[in-house]
Amino acid sequence: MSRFFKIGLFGVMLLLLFALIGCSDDTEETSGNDSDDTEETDESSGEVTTFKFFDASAPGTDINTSETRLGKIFEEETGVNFDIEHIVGDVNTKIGTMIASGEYPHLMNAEQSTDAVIDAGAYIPLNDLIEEHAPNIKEMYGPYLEMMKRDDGNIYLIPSGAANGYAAPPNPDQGGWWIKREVLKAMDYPQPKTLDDYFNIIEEYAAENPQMDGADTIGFTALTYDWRFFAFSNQPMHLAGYPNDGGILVDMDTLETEVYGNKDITKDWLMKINEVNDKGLFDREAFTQNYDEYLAKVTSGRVLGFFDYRWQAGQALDNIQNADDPYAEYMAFPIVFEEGIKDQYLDPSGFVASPGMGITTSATEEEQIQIIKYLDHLAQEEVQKLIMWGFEGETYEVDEDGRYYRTEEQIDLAADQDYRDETGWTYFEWGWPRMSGLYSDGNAVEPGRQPEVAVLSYDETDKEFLDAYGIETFSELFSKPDERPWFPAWDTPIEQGSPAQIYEQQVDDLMKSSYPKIALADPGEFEAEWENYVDQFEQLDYEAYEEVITESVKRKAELAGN
Amino acid sequence: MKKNNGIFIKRTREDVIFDSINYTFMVLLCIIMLYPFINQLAISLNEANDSIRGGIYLWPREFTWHNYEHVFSEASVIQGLIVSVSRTVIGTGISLLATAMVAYAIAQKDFIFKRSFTIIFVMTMYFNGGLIPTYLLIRDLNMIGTFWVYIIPGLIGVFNLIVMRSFIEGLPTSIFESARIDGAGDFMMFFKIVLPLSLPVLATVALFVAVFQWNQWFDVFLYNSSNPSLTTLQYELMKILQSSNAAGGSQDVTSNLANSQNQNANTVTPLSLRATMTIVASVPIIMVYPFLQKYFVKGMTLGAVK
Amino acid sequence: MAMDEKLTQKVTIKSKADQKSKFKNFLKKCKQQHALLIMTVPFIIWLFIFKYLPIWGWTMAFQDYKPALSFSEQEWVGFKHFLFLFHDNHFLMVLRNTLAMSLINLVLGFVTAIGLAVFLNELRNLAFKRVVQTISYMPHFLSWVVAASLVSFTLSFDGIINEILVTFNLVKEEVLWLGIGEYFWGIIGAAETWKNVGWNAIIYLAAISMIDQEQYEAAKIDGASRVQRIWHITIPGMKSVIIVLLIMNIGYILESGFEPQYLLGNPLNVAYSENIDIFVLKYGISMFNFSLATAAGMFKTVVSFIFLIAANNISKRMGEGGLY
Repeated sequence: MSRFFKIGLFGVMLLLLFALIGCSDDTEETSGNDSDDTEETDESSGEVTTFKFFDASAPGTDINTSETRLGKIFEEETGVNFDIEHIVGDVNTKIGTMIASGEYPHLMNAEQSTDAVIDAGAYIPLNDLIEEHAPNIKEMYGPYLEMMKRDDGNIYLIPSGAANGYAAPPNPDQGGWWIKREVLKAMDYPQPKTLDDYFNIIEEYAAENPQMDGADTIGFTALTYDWRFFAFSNQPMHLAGYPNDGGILVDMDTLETEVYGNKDITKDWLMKINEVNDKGLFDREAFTQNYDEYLAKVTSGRVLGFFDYRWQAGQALDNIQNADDPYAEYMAFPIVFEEGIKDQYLDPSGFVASPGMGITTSATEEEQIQIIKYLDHLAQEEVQKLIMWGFEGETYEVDEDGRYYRTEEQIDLAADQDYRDETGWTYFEWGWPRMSGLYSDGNAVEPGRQPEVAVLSYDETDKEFLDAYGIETFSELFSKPDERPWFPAWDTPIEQGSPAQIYEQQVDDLMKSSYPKIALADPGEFEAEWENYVDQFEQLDYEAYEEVITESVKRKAELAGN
Repeated sequence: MKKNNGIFIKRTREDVIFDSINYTFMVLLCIIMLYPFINQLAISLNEANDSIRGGIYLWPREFTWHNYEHVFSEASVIQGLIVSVSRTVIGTGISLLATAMVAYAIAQKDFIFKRSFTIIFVMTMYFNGGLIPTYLLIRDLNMIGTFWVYIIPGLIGVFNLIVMRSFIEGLPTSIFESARIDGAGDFMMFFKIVLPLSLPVLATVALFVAVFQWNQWFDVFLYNSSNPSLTTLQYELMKILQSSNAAGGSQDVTSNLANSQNQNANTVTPLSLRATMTIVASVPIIMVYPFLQKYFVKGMTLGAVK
Repeated sequence: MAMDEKLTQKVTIKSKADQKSKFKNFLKKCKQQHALLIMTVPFIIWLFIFKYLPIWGWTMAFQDYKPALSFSEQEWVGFKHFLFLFHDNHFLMVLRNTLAMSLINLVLGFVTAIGLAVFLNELRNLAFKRVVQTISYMPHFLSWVVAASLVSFTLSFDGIINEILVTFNLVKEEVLWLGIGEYFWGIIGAAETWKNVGWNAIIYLAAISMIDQEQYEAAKIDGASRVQRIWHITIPGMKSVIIVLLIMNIGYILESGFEPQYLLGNPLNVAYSENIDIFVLKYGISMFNFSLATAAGMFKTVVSFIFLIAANNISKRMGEGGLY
C-alpha cells in the first residue's frame, strides 16, 4: 500500500514539474503573440490574412474586424482583417512586458507608453511605406505629415483626426460653466459673461430658494476626484481666455509658454472660489465626493451651477435630458474673468500627433505593405463616409443640395449600441486613420457636427432657450476658436524620468493638497495660504517643463507655417 | 437541538446574559455585513440610467434584467466562467495536496531540513523579483498561452503552508508515536492520519486557495490576454466594466446628441455594471463556503480517532 | 595572533574529521527520511525557479532600466532611485502614513477576528451560527471599488452616520468625515475591519474546531464559567496559530494596502492617505519607471526581514516558539 502511494505520488510530482516542460512542447507552435506567426501568411494573394492589433487606447470587446459589417467589406476589398485586442488594466504594465520580451502584435496603439515603444525601436518608420503605398493617407494627412515626424525625422504613428476645415459643434462639447435652466428661466434668461455675473446669478437664486425638493440647495459644485481634478485646476486658464492646453498658457505672438499655477489668474480665481465658499454657495463636499457622487449630485437637481467638460459630466447631463423635466437641464456659458477677454472654450482644430497606431517590427516587410495598404484603404473619403455616416438610405439621407442629414429614426438607429457594434462603428470610428472637420463636399465629417442633424434633435424647451438668447445652436454663445496650429500643447512627448515629467506629477500633488486649503480658508487667511502655496510652487522645476513645451509648440507652429 | 438539550437545561444567569448580548451583537453584525449585497443587488436590478440619480438602497426603483442581459450577452463571459471554475477546482486540488505534503514534512520535528526549508519558503513572502523578470521567466518556460500558468506559479501559498504546518504541529504527538511503532511510514502517516485529522485546516486552506483562484485576473491580463479560450470570468467582467467607463467618458458628440432622442433603453453605466459584476462574481464563490463549513463549525473530538 | 592561527588550524583539523562523520550522519538521515525528501524536494525546486530566479530583477533598482535593452546595455546609476525615494520630507510623511495604517490594521485585524471567532463559537444554535458565519465573510468579496463607494456614501452628508449624529443632536452640523485628514486612518481601519473580519476569523474558527471538546466538558464539570472557559481553553487553543500569524503579519509592516487608500483618498486628506504604494505608483509605474518600483520593493523587503527576525526572536525568547 505505502509503496504504491509513494510511487504514485512521486509520479504525480514529477508530472507537475515536467508539466512546465511538457506544456512548453505543446505551445511552441501556437503561442499567442509570437512575432512571426501570422495565422496565414499569404502565399497566394487571394487568401485572407489576419493580423493582430493591440489597442491600448480604450477598453472594449475583443473581436475580429471581419465579424462586423464594415470589417467584412474592407476584408473583401483588401484581403486583410484584424484580431483586435483591447487593453484591460494598466497600459504601462502591459506594454512594459511586451517591450521586455520583444514580442509585439503587428499593429499597435500604445497610448501613454508610446514613447517607450518608440525608444525600444519597436515601431518601424513609416515614411517610405506611406510614400510608396499610401497615396490616400498622404493626401488626408497632407499638412500634418511633417508634424508626425519625430526628432529623428521618422514617422512612427498614424493618429486619428486629420483636420480638414473646421466644423463647429452645435452643442458645446468641451468645457463650460453650466447653469440650471430653471435658474435662468426664473431670472428672465440672463446671459452671464464674467465670473462675477455667473456667481451673482447663483447667489441671487440660492437666496430665494434655499431648498430644492426638500434638500439644501448647492450653489456651485466641482469635480475634483482623482485624475479628474484637472476639471477644477483648469478653470483659471479658461477664465483668462485660453483653450485647454493643459497646465500651460501659450502666448499667441511669441509662442512662449508659461505655467499659471503661480500666477495672478489662479489667485484671482481661487479668491473668487474662496469668497463663494464664504457665502455658503460652494459645495462643502466638493473635495471629498467621488465621481459617482458628483454625477448623482448633478443629476439630483440640487446643484445650480458647476464647471466641467461636457464629456465628463455626460452621464449626468444625458440622464437629466432623458428625465421628464426639461428645466432641470443645464446650459453652458463661456465665462471669462472680465468683459473684453475672448473666450476659447471650444477646441480649435488641432492635431494630436501621439498616440496613434503604428506597425511594429513583428510584421515582415510584405506584411507591412499589406497593413499600410489596408490603412490607406480606410483613408479614402468614400470609406471615411461609410465609417462616420454609414449607408445612404439606412443611416443618412442626402438632400438636393448634397447636404447630408439624418431622420429621427436614423438618429435613433445610429445611436443604438447593438447596431453600432454590428456595423463596426464601435471599432472603426476612432483610432484608425481618420479625418475630422469637413469633407471636400462641405459636409461635416461627424454627423453630430452637421447642423442639419443637431437642429432635428432640439425639443420645445431647447428652442425656448435658443430663442431667448437669440441663437440657432447652443455653441453659438461661444467664440470661434482661434487658429492654434500647435494645439493641443498637452500632447508634447515628455521624456521619461525627466525633470519635466517629475514636475508634472509634483505640481499635481501640490495643487491637489493646496487648492482645497486655499479655497476653503477663512477669507482672512486666504493671503497666507496662497503665499504658502506659491512658495512651494516656486521650488518646483517648472522652467524645465516650460522649456520642453515651448520647444514643441514652436516646432509645431513652424511646421504648420511651411 | 437534541444534542444541546443537556446544555440548555443547565443555563445559568451568566449564560442568559452572555447569550442575549452575543445574539444581539451577531444580528447587528449580519445587518451591516449583508446590507452592501442587498444594495448592490438592488442597483444591479435597477434601470442603469436611473441608478445614477442615487437613492437606491434596499430594492430597485425601476426594475430591469437588462444589466444581467448585458453581462451575459458576451459569449466570452460564459467561456470565462468555464475557465474560472476549472482553474478553481484544479488549482485548489493540486495546491492543497502540495501544500499539505510540504507542511507535513516541515512539521516533523526531526526532519533534517525543517528549519532551512521553512526559512527559504518564508522569505519568499517578503520579496519578489518584480513584474518583468517574472514575465520573462514565464515566457522562457513557454507557459504563456497555457492553462498551467494559472496553476503552477502559485502552486504553494507560503501563508497557507505555514498555517497548515502549525496546525499539524498542534496535533498530539502521541498519535504519531503510536503509528510509528506500528511501522507506518511517512506517506502512510500523511494520508491515513494527518489528512483526516486536519480536515478543518484543509477546508480553510481550500477556501483560501479557491477564492484566490476565483478572483485572479492579473495573470490573465499578463499572460493570456490574447488567448480568448483561456479568459476568466473576472477578466471578462473587468473588460466589460472598463468598456463602460470609457463609453461614459466618450468625447464623441455623435452619441451625446443622439442620446437626447433615444430614450437610452439599452444603456449600461459603470455604476450598475459594477453592481451586477459584484453579484455575478461573488455569488458562486460565496456558495462554496457552506459546503466547507461543516468541517469547522462543529468541533471535532480527537479521541474518536485515537 | 600566531596562537590564534594555530588554534584555528587545530580546530579545522578536528572539525574536518567531525564534518566527515557529520556528513555521513547527514546521508544516513537523508536515507531515513527519504519519504520526507520526496515530499519536499520537488517543491523546493519549484520554489527556486519561480520565486528565487526572478530576483535578478533587483539589479533594476541600480539601473535606469529600459525594458528594451538587454542586461549588459542597461545604464547603471547606483543609488539614484533610492535617493529619490528617501530624499525629502514627503517620503517621511508617506512612511508615517504607511506605518500608522498598517499598525492599526494589524491590531484591529487581530483583535476583531479573534473576538468574532470566539463569540461565533459560543453560539449554541448551529443553524444560526452557520448563517452568521457565512454572512460575516461576504463583504470580503466586494471589490474595493464597490466597498469604497459604499464607505464614501455612508460618510457623506446624506449618509447614515451623519443622519444619526444630527438627529440625536450629537453634532451641530454634518461632519465631513473624509475631509478631515486626522480621521482617515480610523476610517481605513474601520473599513478594513468591516470588510475582512469575517474572512480573517475563518482561520481561528478552524483552530477552535481543532480543540479537544473533552476539555470543555471537563472544565464545565469543574464549574468553570463561560468567560473562564473562553479564557482558559479557547484562547490558549488558538495560541500557536495566533503567534504564527502575528509574526508573519509583523513582517508585512510596510504593506498597508493600496486600493482603499487610493479610492478614499482626496485632496483634503492626502496628507494622511498617501502611502508608499501610492507614491510608487505615481512616480514609478505610471512614469514607466520600473527601477523606482523595484527600489521601493527592496526597501520594503529589508524592513520586512528586520521586523520578521525581531518578532521571531522575541517570540522564541518568550518560549512561544517561532515561525522557523
